[in-house]
Amino acid sequence: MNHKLAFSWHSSSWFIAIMLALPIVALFYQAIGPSADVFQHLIDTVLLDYVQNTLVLVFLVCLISCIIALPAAWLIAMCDFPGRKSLQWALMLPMAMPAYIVAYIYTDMFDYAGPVQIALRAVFGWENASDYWFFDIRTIPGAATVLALVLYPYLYLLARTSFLEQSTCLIQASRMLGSSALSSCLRVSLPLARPAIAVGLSLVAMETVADFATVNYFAVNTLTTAVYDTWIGHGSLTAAAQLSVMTLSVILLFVGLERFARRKQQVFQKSMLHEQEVRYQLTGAAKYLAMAWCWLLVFAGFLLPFAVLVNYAWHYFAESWTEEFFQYSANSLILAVIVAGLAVLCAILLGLYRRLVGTKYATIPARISTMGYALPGTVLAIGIIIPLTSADFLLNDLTELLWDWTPGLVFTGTTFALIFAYLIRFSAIAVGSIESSIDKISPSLDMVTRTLGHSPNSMIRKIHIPLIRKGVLAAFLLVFIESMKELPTALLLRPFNYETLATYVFQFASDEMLEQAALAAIVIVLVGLIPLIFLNRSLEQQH
Amino acid sequence: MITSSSPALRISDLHCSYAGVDILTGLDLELGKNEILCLLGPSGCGKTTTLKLIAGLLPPTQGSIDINGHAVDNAELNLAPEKRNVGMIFQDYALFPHLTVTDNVLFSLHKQSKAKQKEKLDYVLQLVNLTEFADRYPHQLSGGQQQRVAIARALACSPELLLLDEPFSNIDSQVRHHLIEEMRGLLKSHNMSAIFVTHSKEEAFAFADRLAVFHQGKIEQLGTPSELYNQPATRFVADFLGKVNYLDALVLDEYSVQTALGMISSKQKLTAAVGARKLLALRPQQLKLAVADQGIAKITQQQFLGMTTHCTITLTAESAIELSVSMQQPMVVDNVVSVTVEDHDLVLFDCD
Repeated sequence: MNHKLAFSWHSSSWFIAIMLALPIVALFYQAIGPSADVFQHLIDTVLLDYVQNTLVLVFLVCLISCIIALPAAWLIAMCDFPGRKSLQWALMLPMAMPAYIVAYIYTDMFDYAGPVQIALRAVFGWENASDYWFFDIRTIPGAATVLALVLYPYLYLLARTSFLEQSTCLIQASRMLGSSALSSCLRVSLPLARPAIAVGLSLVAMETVADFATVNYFAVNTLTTAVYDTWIGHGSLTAAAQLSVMTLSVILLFVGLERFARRKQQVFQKSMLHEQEVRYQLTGAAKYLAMAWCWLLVFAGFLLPFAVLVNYAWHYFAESWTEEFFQYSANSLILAVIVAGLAVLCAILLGLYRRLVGTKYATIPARISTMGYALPGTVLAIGIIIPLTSADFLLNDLTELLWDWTPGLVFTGTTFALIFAYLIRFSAIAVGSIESSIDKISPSLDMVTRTLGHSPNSMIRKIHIPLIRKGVLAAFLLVFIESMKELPTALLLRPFNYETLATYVFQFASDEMLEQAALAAIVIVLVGLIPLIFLNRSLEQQH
Repeated sequence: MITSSSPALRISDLHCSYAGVDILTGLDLELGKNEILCLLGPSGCGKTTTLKLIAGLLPPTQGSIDINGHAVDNAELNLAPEKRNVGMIFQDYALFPHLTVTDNVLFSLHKQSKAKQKEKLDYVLQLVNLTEFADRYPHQLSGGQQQRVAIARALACSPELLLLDEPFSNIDSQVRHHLIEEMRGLLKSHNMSAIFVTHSKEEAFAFADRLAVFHQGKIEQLGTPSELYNQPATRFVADFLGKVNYLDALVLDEYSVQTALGMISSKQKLTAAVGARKLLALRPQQLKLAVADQGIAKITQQQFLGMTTHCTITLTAESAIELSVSMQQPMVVDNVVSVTVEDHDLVLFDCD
């Protein structure tokens, strides 16, 4: 349908897309420039270590995630044992835990001065560290374990869904052909779930590469921390941009792998609806092992850290319940509301534009605007600083020329940069949510609306907007939550003396005083739980 | 100029291509007032595209469309769908899920006074027997009721032309026949001109005044259902509308042909030249079988279908031709039978 769509639709859609793609373009542009000697210096000294650390970390996180998430996913999807229904969603809980908080709490627990080693020394009568061996958590394997503990839900969720979608007939056929339950899992279920597992792993890998706080806390130098150090420490924007481009290419590799894995995914969908769910009834030792394994994950990834946080908050309530806590909560809240509102507006505009134009090229703005999601926070921050610094200079030069007055750093020195960055990073979520609810509206509704005498604008008002209301709400909420939690972008782009809840908590964790920011940490975790409730509801509806 | 004699719809030389593929290549069509025309054809033949072009939901690449003597599409004009006053009923009914039956029906009357709306609402709801469901939402209705809401909604704005895109395909086969009858009665009693798209010949036969069989973006043949069934112009039309036996035939004189079944005579004069080699098309029910020891064929297969029985016979002559025959009564497999042809206007096609 092509009836004379106003020019403003075309121009605003493409304008949004270009603005949201700006930092990526800026990164590449800046990376071509000369970086004095900083980058050469990096190459000569630490760059190889950074790359190696990053790759080893990604490998270990993926490996550990597989080991812990796949058995859990299979047990929940294919077996029946007490507590399965609760575990089904409880296994998602660790997603709400920021990794650096988990890292802090386990470091506190397993350090030389922590309760575990103190207890061991007391029991065995050891005097000091040379008397016994104990693992050091502030290492790459330590960081990998902590990251896997909070990132495994991605893999668990995708693998579980894939197992559930597999036709039970296939499993039954393999059993009739003489496979045991275990061998049917290894020979049928797992191979069929391969695309989903690949998608899950690439998400885990992307999140690992993007992680800043945990590796920074453990002093493991990766590409992301290198970007941060080069900018904050060496002040070289170009070298930071060059490192960012390197990081980005690692990310793009994973995005590519994900796309590759997804390309034939429909083949593996269930063919018959309303199939009866058949599960293995676990008994005896198997039942207790399955329960123990799943609850252990929930305990280690969520319950224990959360209990520790609550304990901190209880004991340090006076130190936590401060004016700053409210000030920074308000900052985060306002920021998140603004970003969510803007992201939703952009997404509605882009989604409707695609719907009304209906040609292939009309999907391009929406696709471009979702690229920012793949950018790690630190990389995005560098990408934002580049064009905004130029914009600031340009503005100040111009006003000085015209009125002999300069407004100062309007773009980089205010929350504008933060809002812009968050918008780029999270508009993909809003676009995805709103696009899918627009796609659910049958095209015949559009056609019938037009034949019943309504113009395109009237159609948007009376049909599209009412029908996508739920999608809009979900989009707003998801962007809001991500904005509340976002850390690395805020660390690099916040104006002086401006803190969000996340930077506040991270600051205290870095200073080994998380106890005093426990309330703030709890707020972040609770906010992070909201999307899980949503996700769980939509999964319940599917099955 | 609008004259009482202008047809409800006139399409001339209509072309449409989408994404580089030609879907319609020079379509001409005329729909009389109060006529129900069916566009019949396999999927992908361009029949739904034709509906969308008439409704203004797609732009034509060439050609013109007039509705009741008003131009809506030509070289200079592509009238927006909301300005055409054409009603359309979709395969999925396209009811607005967030609106009640009442609001769905009133959707096109947003510019009229409340009193007028009320009057119209009561009238159309009564027409489709849905008065007591006025406050329900579409998902609270059965498929048949949803379809009736779609009809009420389309009729509410008194369209000049009604377009129906496979309206019966989502209805159970048990009630489909009844609904077709009901809807046809409704359209006829309101003197509606309508175009109806389907790929099912049974629906087309039951619903349409005239039929247009589509093939690769063109109308292959246009006429009443019985004309098309009994006197198909091409082999495509003959095959599409039902099973056909083809026999090699030699034209003996102006009335008769020689075939493997012997000499067969036509009620009407044949158009083919004497001595020409042709293919004779025979519908299964135009063949009659009788048990006879000296018969020329043997029943090789039989399928009981309830109202009829379907037989396959093989001629015992060297040619061993297989024919399909539709019988009122079952026979016995392996029986030897004689074959006669019902007296009718013979249909001859050119040999490939």
